[in-house]
Amino acid sequence: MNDYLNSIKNIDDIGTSADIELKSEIPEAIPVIEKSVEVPSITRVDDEARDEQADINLAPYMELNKVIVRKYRLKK
Amino acid sequence: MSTISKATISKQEDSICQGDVYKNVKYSYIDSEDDENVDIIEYEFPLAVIISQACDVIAMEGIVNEGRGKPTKFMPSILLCPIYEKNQAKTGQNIENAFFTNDYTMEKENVFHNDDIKVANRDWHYRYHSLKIQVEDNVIVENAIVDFKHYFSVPMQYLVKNKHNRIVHLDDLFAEQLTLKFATYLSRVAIP
Repeated sequence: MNDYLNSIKNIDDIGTSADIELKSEIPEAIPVIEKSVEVPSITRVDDEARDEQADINLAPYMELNKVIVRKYRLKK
Repeated sequence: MSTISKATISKQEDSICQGDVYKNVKYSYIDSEDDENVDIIEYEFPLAVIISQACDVIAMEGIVNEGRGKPTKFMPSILLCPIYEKNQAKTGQNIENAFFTNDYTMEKENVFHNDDIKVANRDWHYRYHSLKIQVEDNVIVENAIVDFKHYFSVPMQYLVKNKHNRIVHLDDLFAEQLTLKFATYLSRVAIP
C-alpha cells in the first residue's frame, strides 16, 4: 500500500490540503433542544508536540478509552 | 500469531488510506423522528482504523477534494473498526455508555470466556485483533484490540475534515493483516 501511495506522482491532484473547502457544508446553526451529556474533552496527546517530534513517547494512548455516546434532539 | 504493527506518523499531505488510525471518531445516525423532532445518536470512538480498501478510499478522497470524479469511484461511506483498551473490553466497560444512553440494562459479563484471552493474545480470536502499534522505537498503542463486531462507517467528508485527528498509518503488511482478519470474521457463517 505504501508502494501504491509512493507511486502517486501528482499527489497534489489528489488533494490533501488542511484548509480544503468542502462542497457540502453542514449548516452551523442547527437548533439543539436536548442533549444527553456534556461534550467531554478526551484529548490525551499534545498534538503540536507530536507533529514537531515523531520520536517522543506517545504512550499511553489507551487511557480512558471508552466510547462516549450522546443523544441529541434536533428540531425540524 | 500476535504481532507488533509497524506504523508511520501521518502527515497532513498524505492521502487518507486503508490502515489509517484516527482519534476521536464520531459516528452518528438518526434514532427516531416525528413531525417536529429528530433524535440523533452520536458515538465517539477514541480510536478507530480504516478498513476500506486503499484504492477506493484514495479515489473517494479525490472526489471530495476536487468536487468531481467518475461514478465508479464514488463511495458513500468508509468502513472503520474501533480500537479498545483490552482490559476494558474484557468487561464491556468500553461500551457501557452506549447502554446508559440508550436506556439499556447492561448485564455483567466476562467477555472473554475460558481461554479466550489467551486466544486473543495470540491473535487467533475471530472477533478481536490484538493490536500493538509501534512507530520506529516508540510504542504508541498497546494492550489494545480491534473489535470487528463494532464496525461502522463515516462519509469521506468527515475523514477529510478531521484529517488533523489522524494519528498513524499502519504499514502495508499490518493493514493487510487486519483487513484479512476482518474479512474472515465477516464472511463466517456463525450459527447461534
